[in-house]
Amino acid sequence: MTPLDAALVYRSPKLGDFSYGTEDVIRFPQGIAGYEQLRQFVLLARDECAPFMFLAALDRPDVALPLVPVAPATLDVRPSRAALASLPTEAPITYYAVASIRPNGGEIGVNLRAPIVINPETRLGCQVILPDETLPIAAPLPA
Amino acid sequence: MLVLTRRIGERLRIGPDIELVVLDVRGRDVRLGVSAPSDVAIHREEIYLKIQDANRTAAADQPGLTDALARAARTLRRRTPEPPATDRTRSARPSTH
Repeated sequence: MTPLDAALVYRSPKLGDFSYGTEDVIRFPQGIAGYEQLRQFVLLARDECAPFMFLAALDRPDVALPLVPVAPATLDVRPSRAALASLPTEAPITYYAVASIRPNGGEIGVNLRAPIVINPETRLGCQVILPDETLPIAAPLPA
Repeated sequence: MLVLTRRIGERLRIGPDIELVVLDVRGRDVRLGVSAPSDVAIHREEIYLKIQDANRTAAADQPGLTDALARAARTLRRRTPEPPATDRTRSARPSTH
């Protein structure tokens, strides 16, 4: 990383300051549901929260979605679904579930219905809404 | 809003590459078929609204979120029944100053 790249600082009111480079920026050409106008994000990692991370909007530092990496098997995402998301299926795609505090009990739940899909090589991402209506939007963390 | 009347089997063209066809009408139910390029997302509205809502809730200032995440993270790390999904995506780390 050149000193120029390291000069960028992302200031999140919730999570603090993070240094990042232009190569860390992930483009979401279609935005994500609820934030359709936001196209550029960075993943923020905090050690005490690992493996959770935060998908933070470059243009809206108040927007940061907690994510947790999930295995595609958990999601029943087949290559055809990935193709739907216009991502090359042979690419090492990473899948994340959006995490939030469940309404009752204050524990963490994950959205298995609409995973965030990121291609780390092209740095393109999208949110796929899976057609399976039995998939929960606030599932307890997998046991 | 543009309002059009169509019969079963008749179609609408929306732009150059989206086609909407009325497949069947039974009582209050209408079956529609949509053909669109694969990069055009098609969702039932109520599902899309639920996902919007879930995303906004997740991104909003949730009191106690980082504590709850740290708690859940500790639980996940204790279990480790299988290696976590590999994550090759680069992420930014807190700046050290």
